[in-house]
Amino acid sequence: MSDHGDLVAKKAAKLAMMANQMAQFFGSYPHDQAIAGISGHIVKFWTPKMHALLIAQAERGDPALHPLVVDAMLMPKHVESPTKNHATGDLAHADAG
Amino acid sequence: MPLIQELDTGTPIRVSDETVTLTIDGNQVTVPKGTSVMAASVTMGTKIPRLCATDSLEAYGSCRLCLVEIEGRRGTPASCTTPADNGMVVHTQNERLAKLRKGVMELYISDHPLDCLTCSANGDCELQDTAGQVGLRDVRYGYDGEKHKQAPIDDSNPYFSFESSKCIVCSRCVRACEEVQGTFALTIEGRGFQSKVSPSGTDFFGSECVSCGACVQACPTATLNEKMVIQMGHPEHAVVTTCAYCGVGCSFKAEMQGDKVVRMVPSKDGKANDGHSCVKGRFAWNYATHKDRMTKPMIRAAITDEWREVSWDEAIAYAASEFKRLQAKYGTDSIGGITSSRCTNEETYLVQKLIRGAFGNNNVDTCARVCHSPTGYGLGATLGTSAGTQEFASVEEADVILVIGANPTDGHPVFASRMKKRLREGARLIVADPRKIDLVKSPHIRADYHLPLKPGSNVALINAFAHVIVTEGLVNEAYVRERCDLNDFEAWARFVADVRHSPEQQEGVIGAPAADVRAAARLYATGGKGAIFYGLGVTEHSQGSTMVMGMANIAMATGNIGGIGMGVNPLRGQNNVQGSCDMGSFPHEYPGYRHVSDDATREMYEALWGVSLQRTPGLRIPNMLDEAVEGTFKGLYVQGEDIAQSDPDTHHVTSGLRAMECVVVQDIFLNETAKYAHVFLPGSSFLEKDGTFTNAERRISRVRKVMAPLGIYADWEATMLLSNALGLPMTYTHPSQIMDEIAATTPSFKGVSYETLERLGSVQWPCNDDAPEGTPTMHVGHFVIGKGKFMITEFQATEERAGPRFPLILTTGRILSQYNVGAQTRRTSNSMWHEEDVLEIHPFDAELRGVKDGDLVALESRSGDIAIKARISERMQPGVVYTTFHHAKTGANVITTDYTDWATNCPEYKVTAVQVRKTNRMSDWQARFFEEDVALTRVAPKMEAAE
Repeated sequence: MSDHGDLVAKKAAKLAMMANQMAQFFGSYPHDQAIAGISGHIVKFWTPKMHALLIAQAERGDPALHPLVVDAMLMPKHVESPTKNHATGDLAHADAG
Repeated sequence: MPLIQELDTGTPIRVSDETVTLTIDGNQVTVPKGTSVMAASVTMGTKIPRLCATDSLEAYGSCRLCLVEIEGRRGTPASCTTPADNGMVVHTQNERLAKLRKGVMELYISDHPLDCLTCSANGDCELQDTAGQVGLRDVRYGYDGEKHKQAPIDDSNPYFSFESSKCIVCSRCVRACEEVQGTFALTIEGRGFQSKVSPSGTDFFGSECVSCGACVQACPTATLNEKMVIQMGHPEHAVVTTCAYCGVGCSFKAEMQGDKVVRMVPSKDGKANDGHSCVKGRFAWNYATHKDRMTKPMIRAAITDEWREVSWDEAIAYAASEFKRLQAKYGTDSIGGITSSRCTNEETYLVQKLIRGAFGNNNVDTCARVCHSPTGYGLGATLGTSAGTQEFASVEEADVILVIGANPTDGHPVFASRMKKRLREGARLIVADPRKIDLVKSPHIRADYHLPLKPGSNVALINAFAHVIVTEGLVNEAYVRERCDLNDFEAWARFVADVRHSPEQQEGVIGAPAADVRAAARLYATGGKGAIFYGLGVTEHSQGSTMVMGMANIAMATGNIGGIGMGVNPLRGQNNVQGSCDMGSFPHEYPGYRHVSDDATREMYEALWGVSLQRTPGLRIPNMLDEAVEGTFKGLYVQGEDIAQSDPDTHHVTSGLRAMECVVVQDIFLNETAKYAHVFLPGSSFLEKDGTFTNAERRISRVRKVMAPLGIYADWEATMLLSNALGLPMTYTHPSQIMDEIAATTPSFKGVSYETLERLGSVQWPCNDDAPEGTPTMHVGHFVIGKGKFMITEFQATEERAGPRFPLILTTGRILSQYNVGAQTRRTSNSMWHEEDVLEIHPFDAELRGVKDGDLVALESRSGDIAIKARISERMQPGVVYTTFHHAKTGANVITTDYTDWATNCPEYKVTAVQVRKTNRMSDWQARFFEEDVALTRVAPKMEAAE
C-alpha cells in the first residue's frame, strides 16, 4: 500500500474506532435514540470533513463500523438524542450557567 | 500597596447563630457564641499580649501572657481559652496584669538571643513586639543561667531554616502542622526546660514535613524563617495575586522589595485556601526569574536550524506571513491554535478570538482535552453545567467523602488539608484508587474503605454502587421525584438493578472485595451528606465521560446535589483549566459553552468582531496532529502548553509537529514543543501580568502584575500583536477591558468585572443578575438542565488490555513537589524531593523480574519504550505499575497510547499495557532525546555590533 493509501486506511480505522466507541455508549438506548445520539454527537463535536469521511465509510459498507454507526450515518433521525443537552437542536441553551 | 497587615484575632472567630454580649475595658462587644475573650477583645480594638495564640489555630493557653481579670471569677484566666459569655465584665489592662505579663516576658527573654538588630525577624517578630507591648525594660534573672543559645541551625530544607536557639516553644509550628496542614510532622521533644520543637528526631528535609510553610507562617520569632527573608531582608510592599500552579487557586500576598519577590505568603482572605499553602505556591516561584527564561523572540526556517533572535516586530511579521501563506496554499482550515490553562482568562479568550476571527476557523483546543474534558461532557449531560457543583469550603460539612481517582494530598494539597481536617472531625472516607494513596492511611486519617480497583474498571465500580443503592432501597425517592426526569430515572434504575452489575458479579472486573464495595455504597447512600471528589483517575480513561455521568447518577439518586457538604467535585489539574474551558477554548463552543452552530451567539460575535465565523466545529488537538501527519494541517499557534511532553503517544505528537511548516510557541521556557517550532515568542509568568484565573470551584480571582514582563510583552499583548498583524484589530489597553467584553457577551459572566473582583475579592460563576455575588453552590432547588438526567452507563472494558506480551498495567500521575510537565518546578529546589521520575512496582512483580529497588528497567508498551529507575512499593497492587511525567527526559508519554475517551478524545493515560524488564541502557528514544535536546535548541550567537 502506498504511503497515501496507508494514511487513508489509518484515518478510516481511527474514525471507525471513535465512532464505534460512541456506539458502545449509546447502544444501551433504544435503537432510534442510539442512532440519534451517535449522529448528534458527531455533528456537535466532529469537523464536517471527519463527518463526511465517516458517512462515506458507512456508504461503502466499511465492515469495521458498528451497525449503529452505519445506521446513524445513513438513516433519518426521528427522535432526540439521549444526551439532549448535547444534541444540535438544543445548543442555544447549553450555556455553562 | 504597602505590606498588608492582616487582623489576627488570636483565636478563631466562631460561626454561630447565637451571639453573646460582654463588657471589655468598659466597652460592650457582641460576638458569636464560642468566641474567646481574646478574639472578642481584638474585634473591639484591643490586642491582649500573646505569644502562643494566632487565629489559624485553636487556643492553647501555654504562654501565660494573655491573662485577664473577669469580675466574679477568681484568678487571672487566659483570655485565649476563656469563651466570651453574656454579661461578662473583663479587664485586660491593670497594674496586676502588667506585672504578671512582664514577669512571664522576663522568663522568655532570659533564654533568648538578644541579637535583634541582626536577627532576620527584626521588625517582624512577635516576641519583640510583645516585649515592647508589656514594657519590658529589664530581665531580673540575668542571662547566665542554663540556656539553649548554642542549639544548631537546621538548614536542610531548601526554603526555610530552623534556628532553634530562637525558639520559645510556643508550639505554634507543631499545632500548625497538625491543625492546618494535617501532616503531624513536628512534635515537642523532651520535658520541662529540655522541651524543644523537633521534626520527629531527624532534620526537616528528612522528616515527614511537606514544606507547606504553615509552621513558618505560624512562628512568632525568627526560629522558622524563609531563607529569602534571611538573604534579602524584609519586603516593603505586597500585592495580592493568585497562584499559578494547581486548580485550587490559592490567594497569595506577593511580598516585594521593588520588583523583586521576597516571599509569597498565603492570604487569609483567600476563600480557596483560607490562609494555607503548599510547597509549590508558597516556595517554588523562583522559576519566574530562572536563567532559562527566554526573553527574546526568535525565528528559524527549519527546526534543524539555529534559532535567531529577532525583534518582536520581525517575529510577529514572520509568524503572520507564514500563517497567511499556509492558508493561501493549503486552505483556511490548515492552521489552528492551542490555548493555555496556565494563562489568564483574558489571554485565553483572546487566543480563541484570534483563531476564530483571524484564522477564520474553529481549530482551537486546550489542554483540558487531555485532562478534564470528560468532566465538561459528563456533568453537562446529567446536570446541565460543565463544572463542579460546590465551593471547597463545602467539604467542611460533608459527612461521607468519596474520593475516586484523585490523590489530593499530592495533586491538590491545600484542599486536601481542608478535607483532612473534616475527616479528623469524624467524616467518613471511602477511597477508590488502584494505589494505596496517602489518604488511605496517614496520621489521624484512616479510610473506612479503600477500594483498590483495577485500572479501567471505574464504570463497573460506579454501577455496582448504583446497584446497591437501587436494589437495597437507598434511593432518595422524594428528591428524585421532585428534581429528576422520572423516565430517565426508571430506565437507569432498571439498568443498574440487573444482577450483572452487583458487586459480587463484578468483583473479578473491579478487583476490590464485593463486600467492601457493597458496604461502601451503603455508607455513601446512608451516611449523611455525601461528597464526591475526583480527579484524572476518573477522566483519563476510554470511559471517562461515562464515569462522570455515573457519579452524577449516584449523587442524584441519593439526593446529594444542590446543598452544602455534598456534590460532584472535579479536582482540576492546572490553575486555569476551568477558566480556559469557560473562555471558549474548545473547537465546538464559544465562551460560556455555547455551540458554534448557535446562530444568535455566532452573529453576536460576528457583529462585535467584524468578521464572519464558521458554524461547524474545528479540530481537537489529536485531530490536528492526525491531519498534520496526513499532510493537511500545517500551522499551529501554541500559547503556554507543551504538548510534546504532556500529550500521549509522543511519537505521534512529534511526528505531527515535525510535519507542520509553521509552529509558533509562546512560552516562558524553550519547552519540548519548541524543539519543533519555527517562531518562539517569549511568554510572561503570572507575576508579570494582570488578569484572572478560575479555579476548580468556579472561583474567578485576580492575578496582579508585580514586575514588568521579562520579554517586554504580557501574553495578552503578544496575542494582540499577532492578531493585528493577521488583520483582526485588537486594541485593548488593559486586561480589564477584555473581561468587560467577556462579561458583555457571556451570560454566566455578566456580573464579572475587575470592580466586582476588587469589591468581593473573588466570585464564583454564574455571576449575573440572578446571582450578583456569584454562586457557591450549583443546582440549588433545580438543576441547570431542568430535571436531572440519569444516563445509562454500560461498562465497556478498554481495548487496552494486559496480555502475554505486556502483562502489567501502567498508570500515571503526579507527586506533591512537581507540577505537570515540570517546566516550573524542575527549575526550583523542589527537585530536591523528586529529581527524576521513577517506576513504582509491587514487590511481587519486581521479584518475578529480578528487579531490585533502584535498578534501571526498560518500560515497554506497544507505543514505545523508555528506561527508568524502579522503586519497589507496596502502595501498588500486583500487576499495576505507576510513574509520573514531570521530567521530559524520562519520556513517560512515549509509553502511553492513542486510546481516548469515547466522547471527548481525552487520552487514556491511566491504562497502558506494559512490560518491565531489567536493562543497562537508555532507550533509543531517550538517546535521541538527548541528541535533539542540543540539536533542536541551538541559538545562534549574537552578532557583535560593527564599530
